[in-house]
Amino acid sequence: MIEPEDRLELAPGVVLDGGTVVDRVCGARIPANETAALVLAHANGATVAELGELLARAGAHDGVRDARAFCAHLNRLLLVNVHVGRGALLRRRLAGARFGMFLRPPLRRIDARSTLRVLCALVPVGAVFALLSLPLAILAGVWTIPLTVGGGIVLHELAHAVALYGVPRALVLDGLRPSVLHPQLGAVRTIAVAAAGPLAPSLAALGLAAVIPSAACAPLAAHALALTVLAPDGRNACGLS
Amino acid sequence: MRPLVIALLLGSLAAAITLFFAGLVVGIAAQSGGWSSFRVAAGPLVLFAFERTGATTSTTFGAGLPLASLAGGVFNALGAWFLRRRGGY
Repeated sequence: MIEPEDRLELAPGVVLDGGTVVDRVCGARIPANETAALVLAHANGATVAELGELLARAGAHDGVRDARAFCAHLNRLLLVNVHVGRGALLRRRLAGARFGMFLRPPLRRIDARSTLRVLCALVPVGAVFALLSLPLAILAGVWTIPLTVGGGIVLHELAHAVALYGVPRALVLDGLRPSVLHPQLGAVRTIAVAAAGPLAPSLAALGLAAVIPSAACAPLAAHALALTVLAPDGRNACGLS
Repeated sequence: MRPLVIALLLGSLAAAITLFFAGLVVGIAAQSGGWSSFRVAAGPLVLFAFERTGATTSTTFGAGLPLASLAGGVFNALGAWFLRRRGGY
């Protein structure tokens, strides 16, 4: 879903060191070929069309097509962020929906060194989930359900980020699916980080239920199911991923 | 062995929290819906009991809850064992 007018920039924690891409969050050093180095060196707010021209000058047959494909690949590797205007994103999704296609927005990597920044990035995701749960709240007649649905998601990812204190980390938004990127950790820290996410909203639910026993606590408590091997967090905690 | 023990512990915890809240939500629904007394049990092991005596209601969790949680943990450990075998972890 990347178009020529979209802007490209290196993801937070990614730097180009000569001919090598350094990912400070994952602790990885990836050698870049000439084309990759050329694109990444100019990925500082340039549009995909501008990068296409650059590739065409460097000898590419269809520079824009190559730039789009290359940007999509680098975005999947979480090395670059692609900035799409909000209006453009909605227009493209609606255009895709007309043909029965579900278009996914590019992955977004956000600097997660500050808890406040993580919170600010997660609030819109929580708000969307809160809105999506409104019909359920109306059916159940419990108006606080959207609050606990949205709040639970924010609290879950925030707990992962806080548990990673002192470790390089980045928040990744895959549409409405947030996750936290970090380097490989020791066994105990891995369990603590993986379990912190589901445990935070579950324990909040227990605390809330002790004060106000309400069905609205159920969405928060449901995060406990993420401790099982059915969910990525549970599998991570058991060292199964 | 360690992944299976972790899976057992986390699975038990997940099952305990889920069952507790399931009971709580059913208790709230029973209270506001005017349901009469009932209990969820497997033989002598009571998982959850709702009692209505006049104007007062009470929701009780029985000894079946820890056992059901442990069963949840065992299922989770079995799942971990299956994934471990299949994935070669």
